Amino acid sequence: MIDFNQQKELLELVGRQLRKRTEALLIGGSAMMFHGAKAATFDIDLVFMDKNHFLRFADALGSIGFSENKQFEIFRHYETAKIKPKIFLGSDTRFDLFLNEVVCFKITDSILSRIKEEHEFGNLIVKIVAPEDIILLKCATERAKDRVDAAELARKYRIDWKVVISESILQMNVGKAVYPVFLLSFLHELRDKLKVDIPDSILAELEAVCEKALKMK
Amino acid sequence: MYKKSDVEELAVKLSGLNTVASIASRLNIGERTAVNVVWRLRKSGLVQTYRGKNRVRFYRISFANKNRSGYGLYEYISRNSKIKVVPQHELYIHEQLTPELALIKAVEQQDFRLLLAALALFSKIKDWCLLNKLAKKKKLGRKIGALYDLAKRFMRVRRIDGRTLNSFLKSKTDKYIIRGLRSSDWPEIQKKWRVHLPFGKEDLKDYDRF
Repeated sequence: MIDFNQQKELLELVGRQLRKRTEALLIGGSAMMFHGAKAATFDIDLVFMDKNHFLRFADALGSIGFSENKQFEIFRHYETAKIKPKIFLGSDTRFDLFLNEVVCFKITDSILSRIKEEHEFGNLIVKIVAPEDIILLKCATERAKDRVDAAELARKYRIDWKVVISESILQMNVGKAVYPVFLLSFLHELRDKLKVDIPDSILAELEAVCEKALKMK
Repeated sequence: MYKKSDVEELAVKLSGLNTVASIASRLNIGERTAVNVVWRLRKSGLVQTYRGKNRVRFYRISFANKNRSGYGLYEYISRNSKIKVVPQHELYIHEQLTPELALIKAVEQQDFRLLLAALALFSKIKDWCLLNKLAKKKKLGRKIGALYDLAKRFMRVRRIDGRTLNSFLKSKTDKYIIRGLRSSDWPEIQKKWRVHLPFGKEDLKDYDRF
């Protein structure tokens, strides 16, 4: 596990290795640390929108002692990923690098427009995704710790659930997965098991969206 | 006395950009009590303060402020300029932020108001050699030179040395300082530096001397 300062030092180190400007989106637990919603994380998840930036970053990681692990699987349904992510292992941390999408979740323009914070570490520009998008990314996994993380975000931030719903609909339209259905069961779990305050009207709206989506599919 | 849970609850309720008046109205309390609330939240590391025009203070309340590190570019320029900018979207630089570096970053951001505020940094530039080096690296020499000549017209600026000036004049750069923006004022500056200045005379009225 690494804490916020250790993560920052790693990013600064990579930034110093890079010769050209490289941009990446920070998601997952690492992004939550920047939002002050988590104290430590196992790995640093980055999404790149440009293949050159993706490869440049991977080379930089190699030059500072991280080795690529091709057998490692981050979560289930890995085989569905069109562009397989690259996993780099260090002595006590891991970098998960994705290109344009995280398994079947695409990085859309609306996600990019919600980014309010950028950090520059030398030639590395890291953009922190909004809490709403972190929650949406977590709803598609099946890991218990992601539910805990989402609950923590919901407690510390006034999550705009309508944005979460509209993004799930957009994800469904651009990809294959029925995202609103994943989101509905995820929100029920958050409310029932983790006591997160989610308005009934939001769940009702999402149920209607799911019904419509399942009929269409 | 405020418990930790009370502070966190307040932080969630007030998250985002606020003033004392907006906090008072949101919580239905007096303004003096609102100031006390801000103080309490600041003690917990949850407040970032920006100065607006007429000495108005804006408070960005968020849990993200606890882990705040690096120098906010907009915050730095606001502090060093008469023109204040409150960002929708902040850029944090994780290295020592100097007036030279801040000026280069302001030009790179392509933000009209940020660049307008950044003109004031020409009165704080000490290391012209560093500015030249950064401008050369980012291919911004003629743009910086043109902005310097513009700033010189309406405020006191530090004098640029001849070597840096010549270096800026010879640099290769594209014509637009801010893409798509071109003022019809200052034709002599635009002709000399072969760039399009985005600011008109009306835009510079906030700077007193003009």
